[in-house]
Amino acid sequence: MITGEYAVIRSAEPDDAPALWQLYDPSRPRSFLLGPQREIMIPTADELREMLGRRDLVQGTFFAVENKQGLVCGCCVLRGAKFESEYAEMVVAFGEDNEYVTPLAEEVFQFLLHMAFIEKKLNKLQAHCLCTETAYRDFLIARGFESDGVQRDMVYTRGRYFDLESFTLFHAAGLTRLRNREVEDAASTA
Amino acid sequence: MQLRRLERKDLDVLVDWLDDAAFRRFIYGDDERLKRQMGSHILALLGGALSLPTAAAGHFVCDAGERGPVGLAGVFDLCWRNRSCTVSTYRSPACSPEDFYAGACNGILEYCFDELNLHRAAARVDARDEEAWRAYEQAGARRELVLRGHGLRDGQPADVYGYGVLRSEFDVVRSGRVQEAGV
Repeated sequence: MITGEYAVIRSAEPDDAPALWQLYDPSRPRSFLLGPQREIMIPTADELREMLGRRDLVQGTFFAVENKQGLVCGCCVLRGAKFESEYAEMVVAFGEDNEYVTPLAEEVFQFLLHMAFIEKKLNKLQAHCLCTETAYRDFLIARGFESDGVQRDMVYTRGRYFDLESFTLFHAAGLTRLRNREVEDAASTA
Repeated sequence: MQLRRLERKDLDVLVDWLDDAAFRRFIYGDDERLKRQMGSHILALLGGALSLPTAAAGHFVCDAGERGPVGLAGVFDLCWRNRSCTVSTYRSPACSPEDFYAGACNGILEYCFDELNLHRAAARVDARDEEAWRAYEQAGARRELVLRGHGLRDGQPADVYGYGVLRSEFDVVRSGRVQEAGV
């Protein structure tokens, strides 16, 4: 568990299922909902609870994000971090889009950076967003992610196709961001 | 070149290809640790033949007639809700790129759009494999992604191109080819 200034980030538990299930909103297509075949997946609350109970799946990959009031306001995920591929997919999902511009979101991002580049020593982080996720896209761009391109008509839901944009943040750029943050934190403490 | 289902008689050829790193990548991606399971995996490919309507992946042999099998073509990540899939090819070292890619790439895309009735097909191609990505481009695919340092080839990070083709685009290119041939 990481207790920051704005957020508590911890491994998701089965008891988080009701709060996290709010993020699985079929009326609001998001890249967070995409499964391995880029298909929108909407589990039931029971299925989500069961999944969060599987430690082999959840441990070290799926984290609940609590605000300082103790409410689960989102989650962050590091998918598919494998030694042989040296990259992983990062997902940050909040219930409200305006969370992406808060210091809490920055804290979540720093946590994922540390896990990906310091603990797991990955070469790069990937992220995806649907063409409608402008707040999430801005969040990624503001944090140094560069676009790899757009896959057209990638996801079909709610009667139409959505494009999916891919982003990459490399190890060197990620470490620079981490160090800059440490310097800023040290300066503000002093 | 003809794409056909894997048959029992193809086993010897597949076993010969096991020595080729590109073949192992085609089957297992970058995960070399799974080498030991490859024999049983190939037997499963042969035994399962092709059941794409119910499975998420399937393989074809690229058969060059008298020369016999010269490679494989595969459909992966088949998603009926999105009506999309990923395609991939493996070329045997015995076959030249010029003889292989145009037939294999067109063949597998025709299968995706004409048989499976999909809306979109995607392919990930090693950036160094120019003959392969040019074949996809000539079939109407567009380069949608440039993934730098994506996976390892011979221990080094390698760039990968992501291609995508919609059925409407493939049809336009194909009808153009047919007209050219007619002229």
